[in-house]
Amino acid sequence: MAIDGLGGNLNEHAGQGLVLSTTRTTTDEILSVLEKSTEGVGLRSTPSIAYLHLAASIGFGVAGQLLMKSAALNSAQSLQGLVSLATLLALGVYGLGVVNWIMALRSVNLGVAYSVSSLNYVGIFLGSYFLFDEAITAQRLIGVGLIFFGVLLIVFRARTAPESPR
Amino acid sequence: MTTADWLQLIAVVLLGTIAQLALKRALDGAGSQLNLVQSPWAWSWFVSYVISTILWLLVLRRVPLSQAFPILGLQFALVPIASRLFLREQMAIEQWLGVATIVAGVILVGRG
Repeated sequence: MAIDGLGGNLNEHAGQGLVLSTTRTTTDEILSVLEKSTEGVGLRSTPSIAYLHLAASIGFGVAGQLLMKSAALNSAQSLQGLVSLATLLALGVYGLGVVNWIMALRSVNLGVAYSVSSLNYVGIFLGSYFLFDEAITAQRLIGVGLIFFGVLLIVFRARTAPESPR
Repeated sequence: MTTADWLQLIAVVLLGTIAQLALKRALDGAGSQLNLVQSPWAWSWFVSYVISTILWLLVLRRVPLSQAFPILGLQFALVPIASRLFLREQMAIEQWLGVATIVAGVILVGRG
């Protein structure tokens, strides 16, 4: 399962907010892959609606992962056991999260979007604890904090890095 | 988490990264939707994505979601590394720091 919708390109949002980047790096371009797939389909949204998309992306994303966990737990121990209505529903809900994330990134400042997306971890931890009786240990909490901080370092740097020689 | 769990999760992350790189190539080269259907890059994206999803569901049968999900964050570390390896792009010191921080976090989450 890929982490989806690593989209967004601040250069396209000039005039809408803070422009951190003057050049595009390859990391930039890779991060904007999924965004391109909605171009020309009329999916661009206004900024205020974009925050609803951001909230929806987190809600659907967390729900999708919890449904996938549930589908996996309840499946028979074979490969074919994974093919079920529960799995299909989980993937559908997860897909809604991806679509909303891409639409949110078209207008929401990237730093804001990725910072808010830390709520994904909160939702996953709460769901894992209450629905699946998983232990939320100090190690897991500290580890998630480190991962989130590392992601922010990479995302912010990708927007400000000078063009490097190819 | 067992060694097999680790390997399977790393495979999920690697395939996810490959899928993203392939999708980028597919969309870059595509002039029309027909081109996209015929593009080997688009098919690479699709196949990697499907296998990665199946592997992810298999991992979830055994590994707690509160451990497996944060480990997917490794993919953020792989994008700049892949850019450096395959596209000869330089990595900034902040990106190295980010990669190291993510790896440390992933090890912590996986151990406990």
